[in-house]
Amino acid sequence: MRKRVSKQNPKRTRFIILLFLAVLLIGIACTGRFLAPFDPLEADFTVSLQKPGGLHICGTDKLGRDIFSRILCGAGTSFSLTFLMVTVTSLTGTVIGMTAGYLGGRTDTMIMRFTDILLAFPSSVFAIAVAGILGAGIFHTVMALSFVWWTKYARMSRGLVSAMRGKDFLCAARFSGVRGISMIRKYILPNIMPQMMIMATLDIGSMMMALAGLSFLGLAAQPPAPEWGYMLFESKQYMQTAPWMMIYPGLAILITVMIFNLLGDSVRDLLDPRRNN
Amino acid sequence: MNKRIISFLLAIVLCMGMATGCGNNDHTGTQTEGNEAGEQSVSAENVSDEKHLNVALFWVSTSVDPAMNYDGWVLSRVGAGETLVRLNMEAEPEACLADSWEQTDENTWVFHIREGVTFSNGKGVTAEACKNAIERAFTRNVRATEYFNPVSIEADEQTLTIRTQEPCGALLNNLCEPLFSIIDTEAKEETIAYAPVCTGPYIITEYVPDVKVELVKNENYWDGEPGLDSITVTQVADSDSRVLALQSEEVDLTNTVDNSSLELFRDESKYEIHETIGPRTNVVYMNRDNKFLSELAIRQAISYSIDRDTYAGLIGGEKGVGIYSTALACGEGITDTYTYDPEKAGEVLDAAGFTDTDGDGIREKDGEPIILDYYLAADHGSSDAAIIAQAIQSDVGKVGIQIHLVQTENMADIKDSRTFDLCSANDSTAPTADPEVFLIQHYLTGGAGNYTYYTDEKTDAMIRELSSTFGTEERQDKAREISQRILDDATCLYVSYITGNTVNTTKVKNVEQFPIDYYVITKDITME
Repeated sequence: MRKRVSKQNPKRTRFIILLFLAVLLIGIACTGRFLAPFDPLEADFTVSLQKPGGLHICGTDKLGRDIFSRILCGAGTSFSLTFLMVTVTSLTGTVIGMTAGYLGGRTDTMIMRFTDILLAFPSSVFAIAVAGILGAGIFHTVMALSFVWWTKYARMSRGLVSAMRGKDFLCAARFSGVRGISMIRKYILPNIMPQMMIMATLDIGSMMMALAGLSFLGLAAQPPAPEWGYMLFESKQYMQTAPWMMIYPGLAILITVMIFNLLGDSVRDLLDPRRNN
Repeated sequence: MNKRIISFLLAIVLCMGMATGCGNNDHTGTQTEGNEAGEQSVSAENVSDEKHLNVALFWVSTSVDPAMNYDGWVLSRVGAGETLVRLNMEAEPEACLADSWEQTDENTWVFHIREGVTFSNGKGVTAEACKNAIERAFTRNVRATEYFNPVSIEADEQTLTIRTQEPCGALLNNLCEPLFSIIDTEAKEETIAYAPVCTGPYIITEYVPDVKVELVKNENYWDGEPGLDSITVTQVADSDSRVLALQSEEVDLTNTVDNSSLELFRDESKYEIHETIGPRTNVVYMNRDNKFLSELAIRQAISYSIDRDTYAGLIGGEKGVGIYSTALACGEGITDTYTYDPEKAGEVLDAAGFTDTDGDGIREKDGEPIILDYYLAADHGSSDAAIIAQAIQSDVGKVGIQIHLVQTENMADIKDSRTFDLCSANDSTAPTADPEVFLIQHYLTGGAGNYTYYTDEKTDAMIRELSSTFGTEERQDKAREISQRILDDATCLYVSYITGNTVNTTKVKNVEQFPIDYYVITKDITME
């Protein structure tokens, strides 16, 4: 018993620390605009490519814009888009998957075959194709990624719901007259929620990377938007002459993605009953 | 224990794989590999003696048929194609395949084709062969008629007579355009598309569209022995990748390196940088089809609000004033009508009734804010367009005009469909060192490249007059007048004049940067 307690405590401590860091990052993202010492869009050619130090702690870019301010303001763009997309895709996917799993039969087959088709599209390649047809821009890219990203949630939730079929507590609920949406809301959803939350938390990092990657290719954020991926794209030309333009946005992405990935792992450690056993 | 042994074995296999992968990276070696050990050692010796040059260019076209699009430029850059006349380091026409010429009347030019010149297949270059090549250009490319309109081209042994419909003062310069490269037209069309038979110092042996061109020395070259045995020209569209390729010595010569990266090659013991101001201009078109840009006040305000001096400092080159760069006589002596003066920009807008009534920082008229779409694309292997666009957006925003930047891959479509308000361009304003063609294309009413819908009867008349003006000085004076008139009307934003550059390792000798950018590989280039 004592052994079990000592094992659980570090997990919880780790989770609390990571949650604190994640909340801190979200806080910075929300208040970035107010914390930024300079206007992230205003060019000041007199301080072009200034090394980190003095007024510009992360240096300046070719147009003399303060990189620290751009990172702070860019956090807002990256976070809001990531959370929006993770929320939308996880909710959409879960609802579709649960419906397929619960109803079964022909509906299940049709939904899952459609999901299989979408799963065949590599998300980034699909987003590039969409941007190629509709034009580059955050809206088009987010739309394209969302269109293919929900499928894994659908697959997962459908699998979990299918595995639940015939379980005693569901039979009992059915005998008590519970049907349809009430059954899903009261009995199915609470049982698959932990797994879906783990998946969504783990997905934050990947989503952030996908968006930054597309911005790096010039397909998502457009100039002069202070977006981390686009900042990396802009720094490419100055990789050797002004490395600070690449290092600081790169570190921002690295730290953020790492914190959210570790948080996802931590949530899984806490919520996954099999791991806890 | 078993696991450990397996892991150990796997690690050994992995290390062996890495060693194999990193081992032989010598491309020239693999080209001459033999089957037997003895053969290999012989070929290795040959390779070390061979003067092979690796070049990275920003563009290798989809064909090397000089009559297709601008593909002749690639043919000329790689040292395969030649024309009757060529432009020298001062951008003046000098003898090439034609060793002399004479203008017998306003419309007639007689060229004497150099004796003893042969195509790379050994056939002699006669006036008839030149006639066929030039006529082929006219049948394949509409651009040819922008240079001159021949009534007849006659060939008599080594004498070529060209009669034009109207007097053409720029004929000599215009014949330097690689579109009029002299090729053996009796070759099959497929051959012309991928390996045309030309007269230049190098012969194309292999061509992969959009990827690379392999060339070997033309042993029968008429103007002395070429300095290299073979050349590989690879397309590396991205400027940063070209920089890295040169640093890693994957290539020994490249060009159009971005200004910010030139610093990396200042070590004279390793690299040589050759720079010359050319006729290329970083320009921003203002589409008069847009209701705001159709108003002179808006165009003037934008022109006043951009700090071209600073932009030139950021991207290199010279501050732009008018259409033509200072590489041409007509680019000098232009009055800068719109010197940087944001306050004046504000005054012009106020006087025209564009004011910010709702306090959002954007000026409006009749309740409609001035918001313009600015299309930009990486152009000619340079990323300067993005820097210029963001700088203009920032400066113009300060006077109350909002610019929305749109990056695009296919600028040609945007220009052709005229769906832009503002758009970036990197224009060679005098592709044959003569100012006329560019005016006809871009500023004559209905010109093929008149993307801004510029129309002015007086300018049209002046351009027509220029066509029939002879004498370099007179032509340059007339072009200067037209350039000033177009500038005064705030037609485009002439941001900067581009300094062309070529960078090579010190192993490569006799490299020159020509003002006209369709000359890169010359017969004089050699290797230590």
